[in-house]
Amino acid sequence: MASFFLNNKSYTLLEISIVLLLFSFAILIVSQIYLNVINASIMINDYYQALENVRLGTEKIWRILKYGWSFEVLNNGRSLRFQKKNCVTTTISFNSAEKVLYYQEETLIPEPVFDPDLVKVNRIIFATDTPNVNENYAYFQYAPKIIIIFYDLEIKSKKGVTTSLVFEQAVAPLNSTYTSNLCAQ
Amino acid sequence: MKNKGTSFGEIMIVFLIISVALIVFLRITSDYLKSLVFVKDFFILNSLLQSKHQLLIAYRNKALEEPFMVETIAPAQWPIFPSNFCILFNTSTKKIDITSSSNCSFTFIDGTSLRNVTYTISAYSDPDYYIFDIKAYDRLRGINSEINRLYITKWHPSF
Repeated sequence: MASFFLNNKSYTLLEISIVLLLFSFAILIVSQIYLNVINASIMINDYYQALENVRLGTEKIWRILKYGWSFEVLNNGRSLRFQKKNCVTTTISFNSAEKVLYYQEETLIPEPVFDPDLVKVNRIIFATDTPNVNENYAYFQYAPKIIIIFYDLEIKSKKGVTTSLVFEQAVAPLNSTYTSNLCAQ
Repeated sequence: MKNKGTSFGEIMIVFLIISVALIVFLRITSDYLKSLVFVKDFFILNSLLQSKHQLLIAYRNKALEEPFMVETIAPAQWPIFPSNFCILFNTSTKKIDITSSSNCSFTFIDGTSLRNVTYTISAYSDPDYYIFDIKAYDRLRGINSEINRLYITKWHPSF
């Protein structure tokens, strides 16, 4: 032990420089990996938020359509016009220029179904079935029994990285079972 | 001058520590990304199952409602389901089609298919209602959805 402290031989500048260089490399690599983990965590958090936004938006559409009346597909499947439970004429339409899906009640200002900062809408297709009969007597005979919505979305992270989300939603409206359309008058 | 260098064992220990640290970090990152993929896949599988539920309800409604005449009170025609079948919305006829099969692929209304995903619907009949067991499977990720059981009355809810 005494010989260690009495040893006057020191490290050369080259040795110290090499050690510092290696140490810097190690710090750089470890910090880079650590930053990647943090970035991945932030990105995943953003995606979860976007997915939750999609879930909320589709659930809102599902609930409104379930109790709706008089469904009409417009603009080659880009819009759906119908009457809400309270007989307010409502339109859900895809704006391809803005890449946003809008929900609009009569003359009110349209509001986006999904948060445009989190979800980009690439394509939306609406479809309904057609009745088998020409009867126009009772609402349940000519009412659409199913409404299908195809979603081609991109969910975004704040870093600008996106991932696609393609799925379909179907709604069998409850009011298709009524004898008369209460919103028809 | 002492010539004692670093031994092979010491170098190996250093490498081992660095490798373990790297593996831990990379594992955390990959787990994060994997969890997103799984959540997304479950979302898609669930939306598939939900759409099949609604198609089944719509098929029942259509079969019961369209032939029903208020004046004559025609007896309800219950739809007949095979024991295993696929159900889909036909975009050209705009009707709901049923085909007997025990392994179904999923096609969107734009004509594209949900690759790697298959689903099965098994039907059981009771005097008053149908029972449908719907299950989806993602071959690529090896994800099986829970079996979704749906009860639909044979009689009409409003007639």
